[in-house]
Amino acid sequence: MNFDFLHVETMLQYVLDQARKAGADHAAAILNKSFESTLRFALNETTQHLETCNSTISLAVSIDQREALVQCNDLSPTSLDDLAARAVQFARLSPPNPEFFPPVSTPDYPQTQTWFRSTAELSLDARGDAIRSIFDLAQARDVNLFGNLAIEDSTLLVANTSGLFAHQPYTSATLRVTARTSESGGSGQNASSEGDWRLLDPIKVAERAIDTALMSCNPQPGTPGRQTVILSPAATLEYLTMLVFSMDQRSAELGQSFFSNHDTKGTRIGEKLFGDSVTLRSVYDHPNLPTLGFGSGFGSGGSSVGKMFSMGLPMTNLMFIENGVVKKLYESPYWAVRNNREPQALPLNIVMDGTDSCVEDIILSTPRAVYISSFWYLGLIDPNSVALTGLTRDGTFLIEDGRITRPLLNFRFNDSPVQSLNHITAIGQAEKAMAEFMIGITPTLRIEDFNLSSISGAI
Amino acid sequence: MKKILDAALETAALDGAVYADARFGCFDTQVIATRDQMIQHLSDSTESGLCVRAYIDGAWGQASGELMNEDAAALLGKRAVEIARLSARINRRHLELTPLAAYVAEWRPPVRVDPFSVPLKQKTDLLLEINGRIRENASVQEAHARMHFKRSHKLFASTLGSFLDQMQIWSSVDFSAVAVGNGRFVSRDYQGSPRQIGWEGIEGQPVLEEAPRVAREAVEKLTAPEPTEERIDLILLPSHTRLIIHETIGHALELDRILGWEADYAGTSFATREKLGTYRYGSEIFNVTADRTRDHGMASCGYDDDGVPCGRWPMISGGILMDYAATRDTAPLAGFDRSRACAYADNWSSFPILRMPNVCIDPGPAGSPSLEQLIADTSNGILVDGMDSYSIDHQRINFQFGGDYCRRIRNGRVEEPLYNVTYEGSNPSFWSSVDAICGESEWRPAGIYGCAKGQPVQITALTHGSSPLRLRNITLRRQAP
Repeated sequence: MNFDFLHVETMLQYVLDQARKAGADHAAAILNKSFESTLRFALNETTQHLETCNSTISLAVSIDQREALVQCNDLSPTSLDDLAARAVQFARLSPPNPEFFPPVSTPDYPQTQTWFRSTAELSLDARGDAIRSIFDLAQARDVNLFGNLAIEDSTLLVANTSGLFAHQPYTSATLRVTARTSESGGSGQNASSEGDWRLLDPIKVAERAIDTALMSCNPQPGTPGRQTVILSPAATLEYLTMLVFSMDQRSAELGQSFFSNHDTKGTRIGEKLFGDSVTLRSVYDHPNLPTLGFGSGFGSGGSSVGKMFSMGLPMTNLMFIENGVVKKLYESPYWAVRNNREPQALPLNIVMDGTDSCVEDIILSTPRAVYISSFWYLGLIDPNSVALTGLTRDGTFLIEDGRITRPLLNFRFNDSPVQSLNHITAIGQAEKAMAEFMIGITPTLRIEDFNLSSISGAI
Repeated sequence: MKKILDAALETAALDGAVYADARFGCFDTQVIATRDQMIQHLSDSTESGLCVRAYIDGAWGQASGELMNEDAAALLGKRAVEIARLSARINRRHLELTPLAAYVAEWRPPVRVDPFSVPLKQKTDLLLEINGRIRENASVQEAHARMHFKRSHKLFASTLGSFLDQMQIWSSVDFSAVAVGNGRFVSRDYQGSPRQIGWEGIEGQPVLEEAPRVAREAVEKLTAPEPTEERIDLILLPSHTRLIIHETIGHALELDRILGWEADYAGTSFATREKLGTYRYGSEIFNVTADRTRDHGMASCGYDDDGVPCGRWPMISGGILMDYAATRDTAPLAGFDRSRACAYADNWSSFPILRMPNVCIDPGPAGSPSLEQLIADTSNGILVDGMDSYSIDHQRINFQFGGDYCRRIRNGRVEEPLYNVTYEGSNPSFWSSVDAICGESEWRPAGIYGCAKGQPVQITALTHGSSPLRLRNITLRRQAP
């Protein structure tokens, strides 16, 4: 994105100055300037195609620990004056925040490459050619494609009254494809997201979805009950999402989490809660999944203004679970400082360690199991045990005697990753995967005693 | 502003658009969230911008930006046409649009006091007082209370000659009590029904009176037993039916899902076109109505974001599937010559997509049982209040839902609370097991604020409503792994 950083820094400084003049003790401003395009398709036709340019500025202020957060997308001087005045006016009307966290000072944050010219300068025609090419492929293989191609070119800029000015541009090219057969109930899904358009191969993404769709034609009902399952890397990531979300330090300390130790009134950090093979971390500088070099804290405790004041914290690589032992939970900046710990930025990816085994090897060594390509609509039933329900989707197969023998109708499951991560009998190679709320690098997992509770006839 | 919209439309038409519309949107949002006596979050946001949508050779293109002047509008009009042309080149089939007349109108919701005009302190004082009332119960560990206000102002102009000026205003308050003990932690929510209403809708709710009850019920859940896996009768209150109406009927009857347009993300539907008029969706006493004109309905307005006048229509009559929610571009693909005015864009830059209207279960006719009579007539059941967990398959057939506060009914009496009640069902057998619906005096609307759909995801608000109703012989799931 072509950007006059000097101008933007001056603008952010202007907003901070206005907030200070109006009476703010502390202030932080975040500007997000973005270009986004989305091309949605269904039945090998486009259904929506749009582009949006927007610049949004958020301003957080505090006066005697009274706080407010305001936002607008009109960057004219008058509007910025109004924004600062509004923030201060609202803050004055708020009671003081007893869980105050001040703005972070200038950090030495790591540099990661998250912006690529190939994505930022991708033309309208090139987007169209990519979609046309996968439609041609789909027609040749007699399937219908559904999905979208989303391109983003954005820059995040942060400044605060502690002297911080941080900025990082980023791009993303994301293609999601669901392939479905016209008849016979075949369905497959695949997705890929890259910062660099040159690394995204639309044909490869579509081919995998189409292959799964054609393999899954004429699914038959399986047998509900507890049994062995093999999760694809995407299914693994989706299944882990709720567990990761529940790893909040403050909640654990207050008894409001699976990670609470109700006997000691503390947390379960240090306890071996999962199988030896389970190692879960975030890696901001992962070569296949680099994230921004800075971010903000996250978690319960403190206020949203405090979290915005923490924007600019340098990213670090964090180990959450190592060989089954809980090593760390994430926490809000306020809660960290209150407990004499360093505040840390929220990790933006999750990595579960894999092995060298390929999925074919795992299948080959499996007498009987259900292979699950994707999960759908996971719901948290009981946060005490991280009990979940959800469904399989887009390719569920029976494995017998070391090979896939037939496609199955989808199942509903009722189980908990807490249990499942103690029932792993094989781990495959970790690969990049996308879940609804998370992106990460996760392996194929073979899990014993998984509760597939009923059959869903949904195709 | 009309000049700016016209500049966009003129450029689009000059560049070849068969049809174009331009939409200015200004969205104000205020959220206040508290924990105990602390303001956790206080935000106030205003965003506005211009969006131009062009239709050429049976394909859409849309361009939007935050700059608001005639030159910028003309550029957006030009870009929308370029995007639409590219889409048309990719497509083999032309999308058709239902016929549409031109309308010039203004629409405002029935709001007496604009919530944005109410002093902030009045709001925070009320939230902190709610929390104080909850924390009077010494067994409660935390209290959370929250208000959410949103105002959307849209100006819509089209090459047909329409000019529509519409505003929607939504207000909500909710709160919860968190308790820890007996080796578990629980919460109980007051899921106040958000509505299109002003501050009077907040003041009209007995939140201070309800807070101690919510606190007490949270504490009860700490020691409540889990149900066994069994088949049982359920009596569902409107605070809970909104969840299942939404998931099993509202989404299932969206025509874009039926056409497959949402197959990649939100899913499709089992309620396919050939089932219209014959398919038994529910029991004979089961009637469902869609309505975008209901006063205070979260999805109510005068015209949708295609510029089509909103209306009211039966979706299920006497248990038989009758109709869908539809838009100008989905209706022709199913053989309909009229839209149901369900296009909605959640922001100034969003593409209008098919969104659920207000969908409600009609009350039982005169002579229907009261809730008290229904309970007295139930020997082994569970009374389900509020929403908890939810999950449904991508064709809206198999589902599993949980209630927030559930109590056992034995021999016609409501007895002890239960913990972690979830039940499983499937369409259409679930709604076919409805054997009683209470009458109009017990009918209640219940709003939903955050329904997500589309790519990129758009959030909408809508209202469901029902009277208490009973379902026979439903499967309970025991959740302890």
